[in-house]
Amino acid sequence: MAATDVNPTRMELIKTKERIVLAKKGHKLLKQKRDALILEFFKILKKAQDLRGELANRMKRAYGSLALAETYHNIQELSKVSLDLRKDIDIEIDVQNVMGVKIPNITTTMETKHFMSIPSYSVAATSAKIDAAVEDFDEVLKMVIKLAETETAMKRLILEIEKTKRRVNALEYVLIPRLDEQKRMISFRLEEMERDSFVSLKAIKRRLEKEKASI
Amino acid sequence: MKSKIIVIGDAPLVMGFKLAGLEHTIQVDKDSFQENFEKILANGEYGIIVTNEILLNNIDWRLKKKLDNIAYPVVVPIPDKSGVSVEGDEIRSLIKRALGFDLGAKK
Repeated sequence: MAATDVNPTRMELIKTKERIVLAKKGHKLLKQKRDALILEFFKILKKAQDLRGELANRMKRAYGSLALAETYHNIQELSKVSLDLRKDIDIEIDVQNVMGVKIPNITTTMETKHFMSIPSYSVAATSAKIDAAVEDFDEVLKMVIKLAETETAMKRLILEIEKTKRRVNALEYVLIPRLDEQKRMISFRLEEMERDSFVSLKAIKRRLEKEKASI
Repeated sequence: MKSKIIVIGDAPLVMGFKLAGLEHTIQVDKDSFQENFEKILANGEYGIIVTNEILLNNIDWRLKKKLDNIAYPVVVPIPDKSGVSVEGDEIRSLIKRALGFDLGAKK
């Protein structure tokens, strides 16, 4: 709605003033929301560091050692070994609500199932290649769990920040200026009309007086 | 909420995570991925879904959109052998767009 096509009435002026107050209140709140989100985002960012890049590197190495293990032993053998390595992994996911953004909060407990704390696959039948692959993927698993929490949270937060920012800017640079303009327009028109009627009243009065004098 | 972690992906990924001690794994190829993936999502028993990045990038856009909006379960895409991660770049560009500066450049 352009500022020009609104009725220059007192009612409209009051309405516009109310809308400005509301818009300003909303703007202030959204700004606070944005700041809070950014604060939360940086908190997570600190935790996340460069996990992604590190994971990519780790993964490269892990794939390498796995390929080696697969060539030294066949896949069946690896599967057999993996049966022995099973862990009990309990994941607890709480959904945390930060300013309306749902982010996961993950706590894990890992318990190896093997008897005594060393893996019990045969030392004679396997080689160090398997151990290397197991170790690498163990690391990867830990990183993945950490990443699961931070990455989704970061993604969610950043999207919400963007949305909020856009709203703040829309209010600040579009809606509020437009309403201000509208308010000014209406009050100008009202004043103009007042002056108009004042002048015509004066003219009528003068004419009436002239008529009275001529009688 | 107690839940489990599951791996769905190609042969090396599944084998690798088996060696890391995960019990729940599903080996899939490009065609059977989406079907199985949706099943896991619907199941609700799994809290973290580990999967191949390439496979995940090929899914239906509607499913992808849905994934962006849910907090549970959490899906973690893993980069493939080449070590290039699209996911990390995606987040970085998102940050750049939202905050107005490139955080990755600092590191």
